[in-house]
Amino acid sequence: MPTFAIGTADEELVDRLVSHYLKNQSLISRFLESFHSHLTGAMTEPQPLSKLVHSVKRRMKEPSHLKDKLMRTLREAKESGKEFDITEDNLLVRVNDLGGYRILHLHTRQMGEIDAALRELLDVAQCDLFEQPFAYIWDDESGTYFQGIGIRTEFTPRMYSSVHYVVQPRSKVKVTYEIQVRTLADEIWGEIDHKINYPYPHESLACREQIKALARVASSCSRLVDSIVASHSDWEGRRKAEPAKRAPADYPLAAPPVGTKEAVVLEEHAEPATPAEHPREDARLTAIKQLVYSQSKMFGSCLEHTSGWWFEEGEAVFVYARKDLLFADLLKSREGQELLRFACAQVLGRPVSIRVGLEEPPKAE
Amino acid sequence: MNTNTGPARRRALRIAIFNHKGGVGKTTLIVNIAAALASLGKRILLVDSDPQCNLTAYLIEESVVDDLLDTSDSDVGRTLWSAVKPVAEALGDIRLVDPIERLPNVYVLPGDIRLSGFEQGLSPLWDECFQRKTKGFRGTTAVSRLVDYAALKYEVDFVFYDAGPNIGALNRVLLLDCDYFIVPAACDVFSIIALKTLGYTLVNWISDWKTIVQLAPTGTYLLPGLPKFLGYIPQRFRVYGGDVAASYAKYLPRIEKSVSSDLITVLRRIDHALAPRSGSESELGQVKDFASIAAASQAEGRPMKDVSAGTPAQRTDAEQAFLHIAKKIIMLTS
Repeated sequence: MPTFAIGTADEELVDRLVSHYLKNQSLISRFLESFHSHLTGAMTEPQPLSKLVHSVKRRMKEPSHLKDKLMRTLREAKESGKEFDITEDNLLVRVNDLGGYRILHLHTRQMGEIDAALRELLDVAQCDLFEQPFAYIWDDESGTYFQGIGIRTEFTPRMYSSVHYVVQPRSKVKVTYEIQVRTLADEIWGEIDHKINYPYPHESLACREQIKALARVASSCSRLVDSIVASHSDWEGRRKAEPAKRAPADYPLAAPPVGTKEAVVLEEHAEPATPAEHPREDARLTAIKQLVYSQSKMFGSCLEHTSGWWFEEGEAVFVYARKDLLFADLLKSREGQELLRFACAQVLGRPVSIRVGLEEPPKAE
Repeated sequence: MNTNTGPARRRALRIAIFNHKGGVGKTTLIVNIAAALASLGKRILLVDSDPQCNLTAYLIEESVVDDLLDTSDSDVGRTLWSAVKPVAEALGDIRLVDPIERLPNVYVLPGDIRLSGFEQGLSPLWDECFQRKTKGFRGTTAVSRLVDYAALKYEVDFVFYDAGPNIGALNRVLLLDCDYFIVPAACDVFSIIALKTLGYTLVNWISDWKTIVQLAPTGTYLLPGLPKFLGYIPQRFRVYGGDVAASYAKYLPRIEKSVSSDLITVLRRIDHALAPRSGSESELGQVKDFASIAAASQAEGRPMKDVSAGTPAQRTDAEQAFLHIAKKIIMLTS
């Protein structure tokens, strides 16, 4: 007889834990509702989450699922000779997904901004992160992206993709709940996987294989949306830059430092005669713009309005038409400056200082 | 926000005189109990939290009341509304208003008809407490924090809330702010019916608040949320030749029975400490129908013992009745 058999006492312990959960279910649900009301408050224009969040869901754990999970954990503990140390006192912080909140968004590369906005919101909602968030991933490309925005990754061969936050409200009673953030396409996979392939893998090889194939399709779908959004904003940026290209000659940019450079009028796809003149500068500016945009849509859009730039003696100068004073001012903010400094240093390969200035007014005849 | 364990909270006991059946003589009761407590050397703060302002009208001359109400919406207002207006209008936190000394050692925070506006806003603010929002807690504790201020500054021993005859959102926060509540009961069938709903209402309020306390962000100012039943006072019955008139006598045992089964038993279901004494031990004293001197007390703005009407015997009789209640309150709360 195996030593890890589950006895009546074990089952009674699990039943006690489940009924402890039931006693606290409405309380956890109230914490979720509190977060929900803060989130919906933050989803009105022009707050960042209004453009990032597609939809939300919330649920309380099914008591039967909790029982399953606890029995599984208990069995695993016995099999590996470890102590099963979940008690009524610590259940609400040891099982983190008794209450679950899900935020759905359109494409993976929104995650950097969502993470920043979510952390800010949790603070307003008087909650702490119980642990740093982590992203479940199954491919290197996603891994690199999430690590790049400072989110830990955990490889899962199940091909599950989602970012998990475990939240602990600052309150007298200690509870935790989970916020999952994932793309709409990953949600399709998650729903079908949860329904037929979790927690025990499907017995049919065909079903298991199709679910894997669905994960690849869903992931490709999220990436395609990434790509479409990036293409669209690139196109939009160029369209906005059109007027600068036609700036009259007697409306000069602020004078570049003497003796070295002339200002570069923004436009990668200028007339056939010009591209050869400053191809490298244009490519560098495009790269800077992309990098800034990937970190912050707001500052990225501001940078789209620049009418020209140059890089000279360690200083990158961005010039704005007077009508675009607002964008220049935003980039002059501390965050704007830091982001520009970071992006320029990355693209130009050296530390730089940043100056954002306005065009000279037209000279009186 | 300050904490609720400050000296004001420890020192001044807060008591609500509460029965949502109106016309039970609660204002007369408050004024006379306050005067009796003051004569025993206690300092009293009366909070007229009933938008009908009976207590304010009782103790403050009509012309002054008119003036108070005329200016209460302004920056120099001195009523309860003047204090909570910034919270009600979401413009900021409470304005600290000082009470008025109206009898020796008896201070009054004047009521205001505009308080009903504050009360309307309190319902959504209560819901915001469940959502863990600062605004909800600020509104819900507004009166409590004002009383903290006044009780500390005027070194008060007892605070009495004259709670309006209803089970609305304002009374909910006042009762949850109290250490004790006293139920005045008239000798009629309506008072007995009212007791039935009173117990359940209080239990709901207390349980809801317990949940809110669990949800509340750490460091939030909270109401204590455990108003204990101090006792009941049967009132306004007629006496002939030293005995309670037959028509009223039948109600006294019925009130006691209802206090036991509809109030004490119900409160004990959530916490025995909410009603530590049995029904038969819960009568704080009786207030019979003092007829002409009760009316004079109201008209003259003085306790019954000091009015110009009635006979000296009647006035002494009244004085003794309220002294008895005052002493019992001191004994039971110390």
